[in-house]
Amino acid sequence: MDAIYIHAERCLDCRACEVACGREHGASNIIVVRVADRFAAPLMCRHCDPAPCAAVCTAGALTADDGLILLDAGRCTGCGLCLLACPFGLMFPTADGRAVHHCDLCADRRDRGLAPVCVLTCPTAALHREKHEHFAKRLQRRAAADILRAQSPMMEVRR
Amino acid sequence: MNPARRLSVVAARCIGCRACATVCPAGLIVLTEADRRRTVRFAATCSEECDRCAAACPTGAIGLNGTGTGTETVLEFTLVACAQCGAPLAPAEMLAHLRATIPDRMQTDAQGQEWLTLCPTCRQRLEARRLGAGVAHLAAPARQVAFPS
Repeated sequence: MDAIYIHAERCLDCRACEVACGREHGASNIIVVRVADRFAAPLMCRHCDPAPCAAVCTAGALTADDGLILLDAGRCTGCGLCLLACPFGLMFPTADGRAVHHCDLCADRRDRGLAPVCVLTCPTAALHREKHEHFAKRLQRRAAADILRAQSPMMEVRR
Repeated sequence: MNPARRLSVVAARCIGCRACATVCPAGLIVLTEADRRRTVRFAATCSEECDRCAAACPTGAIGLNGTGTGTETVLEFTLVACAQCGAPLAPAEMLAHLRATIPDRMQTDAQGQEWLTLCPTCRQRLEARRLGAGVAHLAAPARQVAFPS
């Protein structure tokens, strides 16, 4: 399963991801949040499992399916419960307030074998897409290299 | 007046969400917000042959039968303020409904923060801070770098 990973240390707060997402989906599903003039981080739906938004939706508009939260906007009643149920504030009301939208990891593009537009656009790779297993393996290798290097400073260890 | 089309609202069940007001095609249910209060006005009778409001209501508070009072129903809700920034968040009844619906173990984060008391914007800030906290030089206070003149 592909996932989008966020590297706050690389984010320039340029908001190119917001623009690209807005152009692709009509309204941006990603938001760059600046923290006290120190750094910024792009945030989008976490596709929680289990998901509070899907748990509170009585209209059947939000459903959990194989690690993804799917939105059927046609069924949305605009009640606003999911907006309040998102632990990260990453479910957004539409401009007219009658429905909601959230990041679907560019489902249309994925079906065509293309990467999410935010990942493609980010100039510093603060957003990157990778298979979860691959990313976990890289983190493990990096942690192991750090331990080795600490134990034998003379040894050349590639991260 | 067709008595079968009277709106009946169970005030104790209504949580003050926007569902019925949003789906009503005739605009007979009107939601307004002012001064940290939300008011929902339900017309006495319904002129449309539809049951979208009753179907959309998350708590089953609306009925379209003959038991309505035949007068306009007005329900008032006090909007709870965000625990962080103080902005109007939601009716207390809506938050109580969420507390009852969302599994208990999900209602606090790893730091014990009850995120339901925060507005979406403050939740976003909290999440951005969490991401920064994992990176040493972002978590530390900003350092001023002096350039040689």
